[in-house]
Amino acid sequence: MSEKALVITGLTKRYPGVVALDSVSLEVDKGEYFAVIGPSGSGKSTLLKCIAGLEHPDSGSVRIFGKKVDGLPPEERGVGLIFQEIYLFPHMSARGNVVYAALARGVERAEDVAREALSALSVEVRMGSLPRELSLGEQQKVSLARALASGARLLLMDEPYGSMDPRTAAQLRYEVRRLAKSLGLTVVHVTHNQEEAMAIADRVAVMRRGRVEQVGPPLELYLRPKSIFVARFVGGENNFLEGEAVGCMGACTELDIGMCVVRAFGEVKSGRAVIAVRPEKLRFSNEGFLEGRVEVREFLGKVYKYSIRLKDGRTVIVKSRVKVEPGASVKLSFDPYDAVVFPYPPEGLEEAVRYE
Amino acid sequence: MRNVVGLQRMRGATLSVKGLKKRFGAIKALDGVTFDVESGEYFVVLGPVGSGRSTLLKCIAGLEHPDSGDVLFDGESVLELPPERRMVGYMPPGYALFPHMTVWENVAYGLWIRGFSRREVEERVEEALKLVGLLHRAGSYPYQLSGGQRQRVALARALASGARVLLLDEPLTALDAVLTLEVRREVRRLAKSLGLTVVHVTHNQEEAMAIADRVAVMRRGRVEQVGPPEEVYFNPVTPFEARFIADANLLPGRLVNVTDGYGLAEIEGLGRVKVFHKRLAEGSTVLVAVRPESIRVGSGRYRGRVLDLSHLGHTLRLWVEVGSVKLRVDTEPVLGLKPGSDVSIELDEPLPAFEYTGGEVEILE
Repeated sequence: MSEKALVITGLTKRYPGVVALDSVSLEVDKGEYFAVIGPSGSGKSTLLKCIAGLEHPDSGSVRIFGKKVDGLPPEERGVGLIFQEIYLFPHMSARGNVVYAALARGVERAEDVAREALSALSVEVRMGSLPRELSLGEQQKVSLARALASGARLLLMDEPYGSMDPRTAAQLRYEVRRLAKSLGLTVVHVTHNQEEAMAIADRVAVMRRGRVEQVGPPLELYLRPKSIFVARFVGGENNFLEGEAVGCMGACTELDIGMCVVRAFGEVKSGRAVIAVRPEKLRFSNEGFLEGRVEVREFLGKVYKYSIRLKDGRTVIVKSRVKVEPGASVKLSFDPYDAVVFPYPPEGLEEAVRYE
Repeated sequence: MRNVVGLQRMRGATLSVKGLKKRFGAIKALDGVTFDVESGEYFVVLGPVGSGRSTLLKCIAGLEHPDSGDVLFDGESVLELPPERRMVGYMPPGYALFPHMTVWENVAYGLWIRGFSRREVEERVEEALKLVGLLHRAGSYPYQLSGGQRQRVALARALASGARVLLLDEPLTALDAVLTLEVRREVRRLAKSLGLTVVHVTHNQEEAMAIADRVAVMRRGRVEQVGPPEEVYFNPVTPFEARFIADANLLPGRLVNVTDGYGLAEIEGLGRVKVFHKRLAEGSTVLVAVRPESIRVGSGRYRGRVLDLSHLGHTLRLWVEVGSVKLRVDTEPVLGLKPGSDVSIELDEPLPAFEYTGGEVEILE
């Protein structure tokens, strides 16, 4: 059995009038890069603070590398913390800041480890600079290097790239992941930027209203969402088609959507149902079973994005490298395994995907 | 008597930027920037941080004074006019709303300090808030609004000034993925319905492509290319552009078998590929640009191995090693690929080739 870096059991935290965490349980493997995403107010930052010891849960427990840490202050939990706000010692050089943390924890070869971390994040040339002489991005790199080199085996990050220029952040996230992996560190990374999380995490937890909706590898969340909320929230765009489940075929459900019968992955025996199919999984095809007309075309570079009005009045979004003129009649198809079926949510579709 | 002009009846000014130069110490922030924007056009300036884009916007807004060159609205120089008399709406990055002021006060503030009459202020604020659909939230404070709503307040503030030119510096970075898509469409629609001229600065290629009538690509204080999105994307004029806009792989090679505008490039570790170029000579050293999404995965003449993968929204980014060449490849998200997977790939030829004058290939910013 692989040792768990983090085991969270039934964590609950209430603030006046709001349940920030509603019995959250999670396990993170040693060496895993784990991300937590969710709309603002979903509880993801509270979760991180409870792991760090900056907040105390009303109930539930946290184990870090097998050791129960409930009641322990942050400094005794053996975790490295990185926030959007940067806390560096203002009177110490970049190197000093990084080495200090490593020395304080008794890391062997602290100087070497510090240099390695700084150089991996390309701040080596500015090692002698004071924090105020560095750009925000460089300061954050220093604080990342400090956490990486600190000897903490579990790093907790909350929006670490929030104050950085997006291009720099998009490169840095891979560097940090690589460095964490090579040092064998476990990372829990909380962010509102799901693209960032999906790009680098081994697994992602999607939170909503204090609960974990789904945990899985990024592609699984994207292609095999377990709830309509996850289907909508992850990836930002999805098509939902309502219909009536009329039967099952293998791993798929047959669904009468009015203009035709379609198949989608998943099992809904009968009753109202909804299928989710990604815009890039809808294809222009002469044999397509969804007929419609192109209303709007947007050029996004990699693909064209179309808004297509189907014959029955529904609108779907299609992303394709194929160029079609606005106004053209088109037929669309999709592979059943590229679509996922859900029972129609009792609270209504609108409410099921609401997140603001 | 001063004529109160309704916001809806404003017409966007034409904008001409001529040979704009601006130095900060040793840094040439603007190194001779020239372009024209039509009345009502949605013009996007795309470039990395430090390319001079923000300085450009500030020079147009009147917040910076260029060392030389000129800025003209409707054919008349505005260089000697202070910002408040240029009739521009300027939205800085982060759009900093005053947290202790209501939505109404935030929008009205700029008009108050410019001495508009109480009636004028009321009319303009009301109209601007109506335009962005937030009149019903006039009494709310920024923290009570969603990210998208705050964005619209900032936009209303820029609009209320009766701007003829709207200058937006990274207006969408503070928003999450879903809101970004909604807001960018809305900003464009609003600008178009008011006939405003917009200059919108961004680092985000997709955002630029999606909303621009035309795009100017900036690098190191210069404009590399101006054109409609598809032209800029598919026919970049420099390797930097190919890399910056489309994240293209740039593969060094040597031009062999040249015919008029076409030819073959010998790429070390990969072999010969068909290319097109701007009349380069046989034997030239070139950079061949391969856009990640133009590489087909599944079948093809190249065998490769997946080194790593990363999920990027509607695409799956693969790093594939083919021979001694590492390629960034974008395909649609699929289950089943993992580091170590063997894949076959095909290139979409002919590929653009650029003259290569040496230097680091990947770091072009």
